[in-house]
Amino acid sequence: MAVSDQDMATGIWNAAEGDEADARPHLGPRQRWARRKAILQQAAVLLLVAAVAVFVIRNTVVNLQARGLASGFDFLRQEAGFKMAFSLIAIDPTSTYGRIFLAGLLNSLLVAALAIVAATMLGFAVGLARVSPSAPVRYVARGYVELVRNLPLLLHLLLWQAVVLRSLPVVREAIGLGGFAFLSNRGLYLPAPVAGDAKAMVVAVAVATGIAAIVAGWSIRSRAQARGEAPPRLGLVLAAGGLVSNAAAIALLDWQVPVLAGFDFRGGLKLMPEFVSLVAALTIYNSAFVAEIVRAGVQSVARGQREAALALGLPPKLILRLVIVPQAMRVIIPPLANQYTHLIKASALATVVGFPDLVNVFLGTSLNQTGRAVEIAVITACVYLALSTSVALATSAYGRRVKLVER
Amino acid sequence: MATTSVSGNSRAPATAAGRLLATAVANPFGTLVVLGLAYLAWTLGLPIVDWAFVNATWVASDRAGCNPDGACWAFIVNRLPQFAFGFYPEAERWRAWIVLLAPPLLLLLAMAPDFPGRRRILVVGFCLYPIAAFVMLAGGVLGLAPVPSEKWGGLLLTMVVGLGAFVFSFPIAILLAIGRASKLPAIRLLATGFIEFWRGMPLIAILFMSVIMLPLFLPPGVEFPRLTLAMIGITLYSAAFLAEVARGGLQSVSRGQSEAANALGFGFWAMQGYIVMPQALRAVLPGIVNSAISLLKDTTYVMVVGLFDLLNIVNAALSDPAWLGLATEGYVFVGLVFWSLCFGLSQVSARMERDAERNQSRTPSGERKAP
Repeated sequence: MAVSDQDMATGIWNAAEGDEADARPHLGPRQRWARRKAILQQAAVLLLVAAVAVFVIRNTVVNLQARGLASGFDFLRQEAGFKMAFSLIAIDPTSTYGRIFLAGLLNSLLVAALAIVAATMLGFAVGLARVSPSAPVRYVARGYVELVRNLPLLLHLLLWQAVVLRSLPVVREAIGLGGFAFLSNRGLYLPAPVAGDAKAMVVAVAVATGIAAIVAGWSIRSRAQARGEAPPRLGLVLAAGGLVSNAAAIALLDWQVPVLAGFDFRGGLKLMPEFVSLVAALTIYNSAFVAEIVRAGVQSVARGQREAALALGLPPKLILRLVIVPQAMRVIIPPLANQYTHLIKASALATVVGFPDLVNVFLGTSLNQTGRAVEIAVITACVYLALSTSVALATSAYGRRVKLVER
Repeated sequence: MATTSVSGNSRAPATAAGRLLATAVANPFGTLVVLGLAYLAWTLGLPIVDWAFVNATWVASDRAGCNPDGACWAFIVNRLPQFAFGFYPEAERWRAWIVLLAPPLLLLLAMAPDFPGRRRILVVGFCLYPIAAFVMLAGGVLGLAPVPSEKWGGLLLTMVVGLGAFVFSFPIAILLAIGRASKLPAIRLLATGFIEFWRGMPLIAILFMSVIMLPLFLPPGVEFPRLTLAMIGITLYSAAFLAEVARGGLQSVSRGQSEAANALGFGFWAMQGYIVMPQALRAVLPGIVNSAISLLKDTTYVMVVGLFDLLNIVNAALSDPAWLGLATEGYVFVGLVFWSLCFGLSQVSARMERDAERNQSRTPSGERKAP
């Protein structure tokens, strides 16, 4: 450390007292006492926490030995010997606990992702209706929000499970949705594509380029609109081309339509009722909260903004899209991300209705079978903490970016 | 949004019908929505009214005695004592009544006009409630017959778990919030880690873990009933959320306050207790009530560890052979209870927010912090 003359001088001043505060020579006796007190306090708290930790760990070790439970993470490579009612990757009784964990995690993520998308769309619609110029629309939206958010999520879930899905007809009398999809009390049957590998690649590429074209066309059009110019033809052509390419790709696939055979439908994709009710309950419950977040965001935009836009002659639709929503987003995003974290965590309710999510198959069945309570709890905790941390990190990154734009 | 400028030739004042028409024309989408909803309300609402009131049966001894076209409220009426108290023994129900009625009475007291000592009664009452309720229900002392916690259930259990977790989590939350705002890095880190851990975990997983893991953590031979284990989990979970609310409050108190307290010779805890925390908590009172609402709704999760709260006891009653197939009635009843509790609390919170805003805009210094 480079020591200046002045520091040397004061160092000599303090040398008489001879303690570690030499590094900060300007400290008086009071401050030094405060520093020492701070260090002592922290040491005391840390010691207390360490003592509790030692106590807990000792108890756990003794208890585990008393119950004859094995420990270690080797069970992840053992055969689990059970099946999952629904999984995105193939699971059979010879699958390992590690694979079961992965399948459960994927199921949890699938439920959360679907519900997040659906709840956001529904919530934005209801939230914008909450600030609609038409009073009846506002009242209806308010009624929806108050009805939905004051009921426990678990009640939503059980209601969907018991009342809505059980009142659906049996498989034989399934409600046909256009002859392609069927809805019965055993779940929702959707047509699913069956494609050879080569064909699937072609289709995937076509769909990807199609979507890219649509997005590009749309953004060209809306940018031109924002500048008040006539929308260029290129945007329209791109968007139309994308649509055609997507339609062609979808038509190119071999669609397997579910067909009633015996007691159940064959072919296509079967979504179990637990899955449907879980996604529905999560969507509806969270949409009410998203709606309130959106309403607060829109109302946070100063009224002068709208009035200025009106004075500039912007049509109402564009005012909402170009003036209100972008400014509201700054207020909306942080609580919205918070709500997403809630939703991800709430997807663990799958356990109650028996949908095989992470908590159900891992913290439930796997723990019961292996008895590795500590290991499984630690893994589960890490997964959820990683999920909520990543949402939080993404939000704070967004927050920083928005702040920079603002200043 | 779209205020159509009615061309200014005629100066006749708009009638109500005319304004309605103007709004409808200006906003065709909204009008369409309203018409569609009105139609839906007509086609769906009438059968619902028929089902819930016109054709409903209120008194019957089993399912067969109910009108099949209407709601069978007799199921709820017959089971009401069970839904309220669970399996609490009949002879000791008076104890459960006291525990169940104490919080509403305290709330009534809170609404009543002020008198000296009211505040103290309220604070002491709510702080002592969980312990008093626990002693009252469990018995074994003061000549009360012991009742194991497995027999508690229904609304009683919801109340004990909800209020108990809330009251117990409060001091923990305040300590955590102070810790997270502390200048001492070790304490700040510990508090932050604790808060983020409990906030990041799903309550379902916390409940599972508290029932499975907590017995492992305890010294051999010490055993807690499930209710206690679940309560510990919910309390810590709720404490983490409340701590974040309290932290928001701490941030809203300007630093001059604590500096002034220091200058006047207040010690750290006196400063927190008399100067900072009262202001911080008052600033986030609506947030605290909102946390209480979420906690109340979250108490239903105790179902996964086999406790019979209001929702689970109704759920269990649905499989009674004498009353099969009445899920709708059962859930509608639970929904009504929870909805009125939560909606009532949310109105309280909204009122507090309005009052706070009014008070704030009245302060002369205009010292308002951006949220």
